[in-house]
Amino acid sequence: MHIGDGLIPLGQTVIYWLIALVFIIKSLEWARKDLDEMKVPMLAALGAGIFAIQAMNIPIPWGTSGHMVGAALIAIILGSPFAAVLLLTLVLVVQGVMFADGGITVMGANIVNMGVVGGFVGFYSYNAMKNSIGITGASFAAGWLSIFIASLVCAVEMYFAGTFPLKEGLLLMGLYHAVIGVVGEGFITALALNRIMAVRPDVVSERSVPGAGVAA
Amino acid sequence: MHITLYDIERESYRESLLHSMDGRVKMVMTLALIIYAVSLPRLDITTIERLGIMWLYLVALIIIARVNPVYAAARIAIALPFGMGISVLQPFIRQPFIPEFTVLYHMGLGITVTAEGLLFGSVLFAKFMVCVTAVVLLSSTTRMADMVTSARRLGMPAELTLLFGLMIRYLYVFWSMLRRIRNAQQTRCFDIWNKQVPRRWILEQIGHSISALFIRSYEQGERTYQSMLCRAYSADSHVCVDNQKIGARDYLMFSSTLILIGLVQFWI
Repeated sequence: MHIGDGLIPLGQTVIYWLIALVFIIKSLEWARKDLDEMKVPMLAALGAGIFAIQAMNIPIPWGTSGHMVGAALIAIILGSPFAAVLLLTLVLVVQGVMFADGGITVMGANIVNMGVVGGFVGFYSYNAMKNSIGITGASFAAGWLSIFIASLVCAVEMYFAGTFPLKEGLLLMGLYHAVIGVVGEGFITALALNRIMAVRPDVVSERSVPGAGVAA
Repeated sequence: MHITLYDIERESYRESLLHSMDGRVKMVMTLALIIYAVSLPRLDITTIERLGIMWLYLVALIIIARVNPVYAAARIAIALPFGMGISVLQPFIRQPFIPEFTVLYHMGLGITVTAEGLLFGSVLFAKFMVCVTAVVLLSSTTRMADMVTSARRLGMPAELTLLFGLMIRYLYVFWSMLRRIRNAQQTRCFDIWNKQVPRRWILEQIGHSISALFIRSYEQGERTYQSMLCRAYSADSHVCVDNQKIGARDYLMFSSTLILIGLVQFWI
């Protein structure tokens, strides 16, 4: 889902950068408030960890391998969608500048898709479902929705960019991510969340425990 | 060829004219090339000529920088699939912003190849190629730590400098952890495509590894915070970055890039 440089016209990339910057500033405010002075070492180590997690190959249908984005998992564990925005921004900057994975002018769009949409959809869908269907079902659905909705937003961006027709884009991107999202994001998010809750329950935010409120 | 973080770091530690350049100049130079490439018109044949010259310039810089050509080609090839996929489809798509289409070839089932689609796809691919090559050149000639320091000198906030500075240190820790996990799995004949074990079991093992990486990175953050506190760290702490003068050679290199952009813009 990493859009590359050149696929979105320059004027539109500025708009996505501005949207991304608003969320990055808000996420830094969240980090100052929620993590206090611990934020720098914690976010730095987690950012590096997420970078490694995204490099893990996951077998997906059609005989190819994919990787996890992790926005929903981060938002659920740290109890805020802004955590996903900040950590995905760190990872996307390193991927874009070091690996040419994604791009520079389109980085704003990639942050909006994977960090903002992925984080917010993942966090709020989990919180909407955690009390009714439980942690496993809610985290599976949150992981799947985070990647599926982000892919639809990506298709809409490509349409506005004049790079891909809307109907075909929504169909192709949506269908592909709906299928790989089941395994790559939904299943792994549910499994990892359960595992982390069992091993280090103190790491998981109180907001993500069933019965807690949903304020970001 | 599989490219890892270590390969990129190894190339960035070579010695050459470009490696010794000021990081700020290289970063601004890369940004200027990318912004110019992206801003070029999307339905103009001269755009391909302009981008072709820019790409040759970048390849020349890669050669001057003595970057391993196999490594550089592999890095570009790895980054290509998404952009190439979108570009290859363009000759068959009728984009609404293109007023008229000239059909070049009827493929049957209502699918046609159009001249405008072919041009648009070629321009998209050329833009993508130039931008990817520019980033490959930058990351192969500039160490990660230097990039963070240079970004600070260019005005990146102190808080983000500290965050990125620490993060790139831990990238290697977790990359090496990932490698150890993969080695351990390989010694036990773990293969994600093994059809003799249930797919669910394979996914569970991957999920456990991902959980382990998450917990370890969280605990690394806790440990690092404790040790930083022992060394008088506080919320006001920041990385000390000295002022470095930009040399004549850096100005020369930067000017040559600007001249190239000027030449391709006004002479083609």
